Amino acid sequence: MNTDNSLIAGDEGMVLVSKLDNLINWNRKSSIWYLLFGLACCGIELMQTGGPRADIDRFGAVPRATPRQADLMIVAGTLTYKMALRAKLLYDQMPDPKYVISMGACATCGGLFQLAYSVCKGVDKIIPVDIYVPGCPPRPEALTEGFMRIQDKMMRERWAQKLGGGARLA
Amino acid sequence: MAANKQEEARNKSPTRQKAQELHALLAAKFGEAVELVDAVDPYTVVKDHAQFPAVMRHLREDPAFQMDFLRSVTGVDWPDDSIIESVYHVYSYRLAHAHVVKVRLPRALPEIPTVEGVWPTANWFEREAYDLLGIVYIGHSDLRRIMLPDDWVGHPLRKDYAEQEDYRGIGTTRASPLEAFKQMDLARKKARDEKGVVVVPQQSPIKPPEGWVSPKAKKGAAAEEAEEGEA
Ligand code: SF4
Repeated sequence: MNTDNSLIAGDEGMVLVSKLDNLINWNRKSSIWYLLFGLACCGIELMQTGGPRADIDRFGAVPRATPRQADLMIVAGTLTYKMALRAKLLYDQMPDPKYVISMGACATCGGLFQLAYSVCKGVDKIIPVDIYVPGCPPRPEALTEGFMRIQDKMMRERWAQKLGGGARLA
Repeated sequence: MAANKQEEARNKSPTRQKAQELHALLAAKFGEAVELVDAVDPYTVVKDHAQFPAVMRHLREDPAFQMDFLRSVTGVDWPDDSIIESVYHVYSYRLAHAHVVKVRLPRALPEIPTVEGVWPTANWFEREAYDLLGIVYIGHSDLRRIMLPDDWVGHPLRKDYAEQEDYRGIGTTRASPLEAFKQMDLARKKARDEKGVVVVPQQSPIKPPEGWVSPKAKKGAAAEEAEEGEA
């Protein structure tokens, strides 16, 4: 349990006292909506991750078909230059705060297509990446791990503090 | 001997015979304009480009051919001969036979009339060949790039294609992470040398079983033996 939180016995039941940031982050990490964005064979494994075995639905993660409702972009597969421009556009359309997972060797560095003329050598050449998941393709377990690291990252955010600290919001 | 047998077997191959038959039919109609190349799978080369549209239409409409399906239009770059080939694979569903037709174009200006009017599917195929090899199909209704972005420079399947430094500001190279590791090792070694630290390789406290020879040592012994044998 996070030491920032404490349970207090109130008159009508238990009261949880926490930091505002913790509450916001906890909400956020419990409903990561990711942009459905499969580009190649990794996309199949991404679908498996949403399937009943790995089931990232249990983290409250559901695929969205529009960037405007997405918090997380999972770039799953080989990114061509032609698609890279679109990926940038989609990323720009996502509302802040937004996160990016680069899934698989191809998205991370071009993978086995690195010497191809048409393949972008890594999605980090166009958008900032938070988590790299290695593999070709990464197993659903690996992607789930990456997902949990994104959650860790979300829990470390301090948006309320940055917005003027507790004094103003209290 | 073996080569002869191989050749015999090849000559008996029904697809080979069929291709030769089909070419003979074409030659009967177009004479000098077409030529047979007797490769493993024989194909027809249309030498007279003015006749090319007529040849293709004949393939589709003649009752002996009835090539109702254009399987693919591809291209091959031969920089040494300074030509680019445009290759057409055609197939007849009705008569269940296939044929390959090629035209050889000068590399500097590879132009050939489109076959879009004969097989509408040629539209996309020809766009692909144009995109990747720069073959210009005259009379094509919409000759744009099909797979690469419209503002791409060059035709990547040409043998002398050189990749651009960047595409719209996206760099086209990526440093190998191994290089970084090598640099790191070198830096560490340098720091050690400066401090005068001597690294002693650690010995494992576990002793190998009696009489065991490591593969590395074995290899060394084998090499030595071989050297002795030579001497
Ligand atoms: S990393 Fe492997 S599995 Fe993933 S898109 Fe590339 S080739 Fe396909």
